Amino acid sequence: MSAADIIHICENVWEANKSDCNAFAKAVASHYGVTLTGRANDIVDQISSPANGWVKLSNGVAAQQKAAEGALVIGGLKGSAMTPPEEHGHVVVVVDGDLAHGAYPTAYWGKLNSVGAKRKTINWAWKAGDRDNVTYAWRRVETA
Amino acid sequence: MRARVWACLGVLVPSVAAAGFEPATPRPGAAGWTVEAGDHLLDVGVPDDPAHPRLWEAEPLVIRHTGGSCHVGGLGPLAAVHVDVSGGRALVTSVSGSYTLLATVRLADCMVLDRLPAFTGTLQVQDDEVVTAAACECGDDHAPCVCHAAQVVSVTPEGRLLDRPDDPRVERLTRETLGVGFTGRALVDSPGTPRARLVAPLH
Repeated sequence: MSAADIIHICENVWEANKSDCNAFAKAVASHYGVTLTGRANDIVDQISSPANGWVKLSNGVAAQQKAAEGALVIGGLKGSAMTPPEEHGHVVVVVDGDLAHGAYPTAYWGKLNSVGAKRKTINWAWKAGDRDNVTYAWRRVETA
Repeated sequence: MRARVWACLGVLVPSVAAAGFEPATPRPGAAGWTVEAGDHLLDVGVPDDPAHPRLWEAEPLVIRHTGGSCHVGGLGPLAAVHVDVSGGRALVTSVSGSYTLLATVRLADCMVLDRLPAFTGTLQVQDDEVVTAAACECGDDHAPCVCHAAQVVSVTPEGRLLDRPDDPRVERLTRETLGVGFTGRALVDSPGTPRARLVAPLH
């Protein structure tokens, strides 16, 4: 699978899932036979576990590089890791693209009760202080 | 398929205020994107999309006046600004993750008077009051959703953001959006559909 394939899938599932971050990530992942379940906090737990086949990445730069290679890359932050801690988390699908401020990769995301973003760097998804705590993880996926 | 998204959709659309806070849209100019607030000029930073801006970076939000300038840090990408010129205050709406962050700021010295996170994407500001729409996060198809009631928040003269869960509009607005009425948080099956059912309040 190429980096362009992931972007194509994000575009395809965008309209139906643009108002729900966890549904958007699930829709992209499921296209490649990868199951994500629950709410955003649950998804962050799942991508944080090697037992689920996910490999954690050190930061946004590594996430961008892996997305450019055509891997499925998810970024997420649990609500409890926000400053101050909140109940609900948030997840994004990282894609090949620019790095903002040399650190924040390009992604697609749905946004609960609103409209998310297409191919924007994740500094538009979280405030400073939260965005540096985002967990990134990747999985190799085959062509759908 | 169960409806996952039932809350009012759209960007933050403030209503026109007769007094108190009034909407102030960032405008591009020689000094970048700014908001005018009487003798103050708020520099909101670069927009996410210059042609169709929805958010401004505001890192930090800089407030300039004839005597100098100050800045406000710790905000998220800025979604809306309301100003109360006579009161010398701004109500700043920003986002982080799934939350909308409200902050009241004193224009004279950039002091943050209060902050309040709201789990919603839709709110209205009128005079000295903020009303947020009810909202939920749903997970898997057969699990109830975690839902938050509408909020009615008063901005006090001191800039405090005072949540008023006992306001009678809270339950009514929540019922209008989700199909079930409650205050605070609750587990709800199929919110926003004819099958909506209150499962249990959350404390």
